[in-house]
Amino acid sequence: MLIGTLSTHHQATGVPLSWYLALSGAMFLLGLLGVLIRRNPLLLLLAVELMLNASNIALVGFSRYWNVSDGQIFALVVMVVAAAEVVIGLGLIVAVYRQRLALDVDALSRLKG
Amino acid sequence: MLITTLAWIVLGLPLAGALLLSLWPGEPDRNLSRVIGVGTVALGFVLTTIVFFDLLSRTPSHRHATNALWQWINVDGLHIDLAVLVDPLSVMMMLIITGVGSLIVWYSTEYMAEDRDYRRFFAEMNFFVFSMLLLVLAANFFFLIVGWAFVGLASYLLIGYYYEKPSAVAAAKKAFVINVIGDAGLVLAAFLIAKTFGSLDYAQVFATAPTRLGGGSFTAEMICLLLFVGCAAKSAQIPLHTWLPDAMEGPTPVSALIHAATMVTAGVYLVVRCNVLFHLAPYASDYVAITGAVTLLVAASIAIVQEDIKRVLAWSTVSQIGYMMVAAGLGLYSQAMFHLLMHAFFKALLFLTAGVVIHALSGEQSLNRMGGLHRLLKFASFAMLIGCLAISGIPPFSGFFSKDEILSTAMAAGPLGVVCAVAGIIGAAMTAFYMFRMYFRAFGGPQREGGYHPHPHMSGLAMAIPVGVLAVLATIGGFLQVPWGRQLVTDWLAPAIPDQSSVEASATVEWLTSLASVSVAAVAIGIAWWLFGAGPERRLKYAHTLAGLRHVLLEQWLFDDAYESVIIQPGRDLGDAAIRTAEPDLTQGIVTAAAGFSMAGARGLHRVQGGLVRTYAFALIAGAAIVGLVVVLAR
Amino acid sequence: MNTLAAAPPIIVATTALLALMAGLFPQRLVRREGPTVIAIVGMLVAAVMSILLWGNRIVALGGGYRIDHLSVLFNLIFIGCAVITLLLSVNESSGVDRRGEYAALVTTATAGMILVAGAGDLIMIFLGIEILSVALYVLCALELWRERSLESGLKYLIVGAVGSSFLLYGLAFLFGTTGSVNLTKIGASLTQASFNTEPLLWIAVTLIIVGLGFKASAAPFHMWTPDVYEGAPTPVTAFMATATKAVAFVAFLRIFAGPLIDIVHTWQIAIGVVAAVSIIIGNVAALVQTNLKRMLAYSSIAQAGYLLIGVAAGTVQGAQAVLFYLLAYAAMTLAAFAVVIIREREVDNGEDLASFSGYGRARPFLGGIMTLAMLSLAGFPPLSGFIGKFLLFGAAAEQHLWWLAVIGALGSVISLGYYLRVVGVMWFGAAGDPEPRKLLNVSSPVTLSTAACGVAILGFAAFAGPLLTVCQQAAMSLLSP
Repeated sequence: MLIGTLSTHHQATGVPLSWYLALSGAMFLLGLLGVLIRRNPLLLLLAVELMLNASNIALVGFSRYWNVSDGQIFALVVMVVAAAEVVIGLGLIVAVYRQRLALDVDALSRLKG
Repeated sequence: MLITTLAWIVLGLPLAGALLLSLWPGEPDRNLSRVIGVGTVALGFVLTTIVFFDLLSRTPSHRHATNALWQWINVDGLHIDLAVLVDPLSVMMMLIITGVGSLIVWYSTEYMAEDRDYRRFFAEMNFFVFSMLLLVLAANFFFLIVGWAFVGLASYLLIGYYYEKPSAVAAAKKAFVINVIGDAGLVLAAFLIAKTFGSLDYAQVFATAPTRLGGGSFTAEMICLLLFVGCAAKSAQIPLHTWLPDAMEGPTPVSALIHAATMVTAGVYLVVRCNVLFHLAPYASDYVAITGAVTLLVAASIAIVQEDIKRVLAWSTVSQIGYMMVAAGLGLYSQAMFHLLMHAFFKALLFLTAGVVIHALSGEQSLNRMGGLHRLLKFASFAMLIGCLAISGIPPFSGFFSKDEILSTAMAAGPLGVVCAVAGIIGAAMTAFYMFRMYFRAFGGPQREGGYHPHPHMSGLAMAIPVGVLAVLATIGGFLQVPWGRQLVTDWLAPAIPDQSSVEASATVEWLTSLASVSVAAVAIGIAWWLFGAGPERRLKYAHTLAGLRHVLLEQWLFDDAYESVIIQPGRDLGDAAIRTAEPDLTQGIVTAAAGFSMAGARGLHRVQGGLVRTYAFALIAGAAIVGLVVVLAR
Repeated sequence: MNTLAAAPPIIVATTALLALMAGLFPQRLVRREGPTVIAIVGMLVAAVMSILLWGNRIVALGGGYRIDHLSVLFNLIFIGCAVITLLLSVNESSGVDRRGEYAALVTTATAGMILVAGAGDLIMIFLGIEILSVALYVLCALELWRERSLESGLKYLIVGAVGSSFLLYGLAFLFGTTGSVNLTKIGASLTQASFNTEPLLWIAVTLIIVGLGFKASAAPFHMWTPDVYEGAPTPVTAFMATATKAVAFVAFLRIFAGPLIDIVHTWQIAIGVVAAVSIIIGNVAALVQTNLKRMLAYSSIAQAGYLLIGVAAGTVQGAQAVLFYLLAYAAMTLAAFAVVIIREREVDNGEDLASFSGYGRARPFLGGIMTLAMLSLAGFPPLSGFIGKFLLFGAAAEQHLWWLAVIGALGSVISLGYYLRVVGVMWFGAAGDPEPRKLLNVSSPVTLSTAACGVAILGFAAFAGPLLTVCQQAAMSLLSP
């Protein structure tokens, strides 16, 4: 059974699924935009966090829709992973700062070709 | 079984020789290199003759044997053995490879005597002999491809032997690349074969082909065309021929062995081996014949203006293989093999004699600086004369019988055959012309200005005897197959070539064609004598008047230039563009637009610097869009 | 929870912790050699465990992790690559004080990869890939004093995180469409479905292809690869080029050749297009490279393309071909990088093609291994690279994807241009370096592992028969739940 067939049966109690997905999509796109535009690595990490959390919202929404807990577990795991990624990212940023390099990804482009 | 065991030994000897010579610690004694280098091939020849006589003693239908040494891959749907096939065709090729091969390797013990990398030469020559034997002995398409690739590798190593010369390295690379294009064609053909027949084994494929493929089916045509791509690359047929003249950068024995007698004939061997398949693919066969005809004419025309003695011979090889391809394309497989055999004799003779001349003149290869050598190098002069007469198709030398057989039978093989035969006769005239041009310029006329310093020295026995043996073979070899007499070659090959065309020329056609080809050749020789025999004045006068035509021929019909501008340079440009321009400019520009658009509302436009991370992220997004599009469209 | 089945990842994870701790010991000897030894021993133990489990089909962690032929085979590939990477970085002059972290990170990355190989649901796939990625971000930037290393780590982090988010979003949608994260259950619900009316599924498939394609360095998601490969320390690059690519492909196979197999006609062309683009871009761009690491990076992009052809075929033969080629690819890529590593220890800019001029004549052994690697990568018969490509293109031809087979063959022909150039420079080039620094500087583990890789290239070709049987069994295990 796929979701398409299910949606005709599901009673919309509370927030409908499509709103979850819309919010999730908007957040994803915003994060994506941030990655494209921002030059400060800290802000880039923020944008990436946005994208990961967009998926979280989608997962929770689907989980609620299907009435299973798989999605929520998945979302928890993602949060842990995102935290770990941010820690590493911050560590790298500190290392960049310590090397007296500019905190600007556009400037950090010695490798090219 | 005795013959298959012997076949394995013959295959293994040169491999062992190559390994022994390359892995020998330190610098081995020259005699050792000589003994191993020549010994493996010579011993191989002796064993091959034993195999030959064994086969001869059997009835024709029993003249084949296969033996699998190792069941290499035996998985669901894929079954490939390391196996050899001993039958008349493969034994004939083996005799040529080991026989002519051992003569040439023996010759090179003296020719390469001043070279310091003695053992590398013999190791590489042994590796070549091994690869070539693997190619002709393979019992399935997979190991054919392996042998094919190894032969290409050996050719690369030997052409680039004088690796300190950049021109040699460039020539080696060019040969290898064109060869690999041929390999790709072979591999694609192998896929088709595996898919259609479920096996790569010769026996299985050829036995079931008529029923599975059906005459003229698209699959059959594709298989044969792809196979021919490989053949054209290896045998230097148009348009994959440009590597052969450049391959003359290698030492002369290499040119003799690889680029005259054996490697370049591998393509002809493959077409003959797959005669069952080609018989079921009439369009492909016609294409083979047409390619052969075009090649023989174009190559002959280019040979007319060559100044380097080896290059004349190289282009003549391309042209002669064209004859063989014409025959093979018309279904005249045993005639093609007959010419292959004769060609091996006289072309090796010509190259080795040229080597004697070059050696005597301490490395001089240009016809411009030769002349009047007849008095100084009598032996070489006679040998070269025999070779030239043979290749020009003058009776009773070998070339006459084989070329004539092709031409007259082609005449009787339908309209395409007639066209090819006429082309062949014109080609014969051109062949006689440029070969005797070479002969008269080198050996006839007055000596070059200033004479020869130091005095040309005649070569020793190791070089003279092989030349002598080949000269004898080139003289009498033709009597193996005489019209209305014995047909030894055809009879011998019959069991291996079930689809040999049984077309036979009538007596009139036979006489007329012979007469035509011999007379045009004789006329051409006469013109050559008149133009070149007396000295440089006459030819220079005529060279001026035909300068434009000469230029096109000298530039080899501009094939190389065409390749350079159509394929090579754009490839380089594309690579550069992908790195230097497309990435920064294209994605940069789009990123600029996206960023600018989104920020226009918030604050003013500002110039986006060459940011790289964002570019990569953008590429990700663009890729996602493309993939999404494909997924949606493909559903 | 079936502990026995989950043994391999648990052992490897524990090893990582132990290696990390060994790096903090006061005694200098333990600090220097301990972590590497512990890591190698621990991973070998895990490898032995996996081999012992061969032939069993066990499901552990509530369906999350499973042992079958495929996971055992990949465990061996990953552990092999990791062990060789560790051996190749023995006695590396830099990073002596970071031994513990280095060994621990490589081991952690391997643990993550093992999780992906045996993944039974989407969570495990994501988790495994992320563990691997995070460890790699640090590994790339480990040489903090080099700006390029830092840049490569940061770039990989950011672009990698974006790629991971795409993958995650795709997995989320896949969950959303089918209501389960378990791969078997997903497969079951997709068999009865009608794909045409499900936009969420299209989005899911697209995003997953993007996310995994990024990890596999397929074009057009490849742009991070040359920079990151060039900037990272070379042993790390070797690790990334082999093990990470294998992870991406096991994920591809687990998802696409398993549950999504019934909707193959939808994603087959898409993956085929990605494969074709990768082959073209990778080969063409590699032609103009002068830095060997960058050239190998672009070459690996093209190799990802060849592998994707096998995935696109969507059959057991395709999967079998992918597995065989991954084995062969790991051996030849590690061999090539090993020679680069050795050269880098001898001269300053060892990663430039120019520094290899005449190297073959000076060191025939290493020259021979590099030549083997280059020829095998180019698909020269009868080496293992050729057999793998033959099988890959054959699988595509079998499914009437002729255009893919032709592009693959053409790509191989083009690739000769740069592979052969390395061989030519090594053997025919003028000897630039007056005298390469003594071979004594290169310790035996490094030489041994280089030799092992060379032997593997030949061995995989010679013993292709039994190997193919193993790969076939592994491929078959994809089909049954």
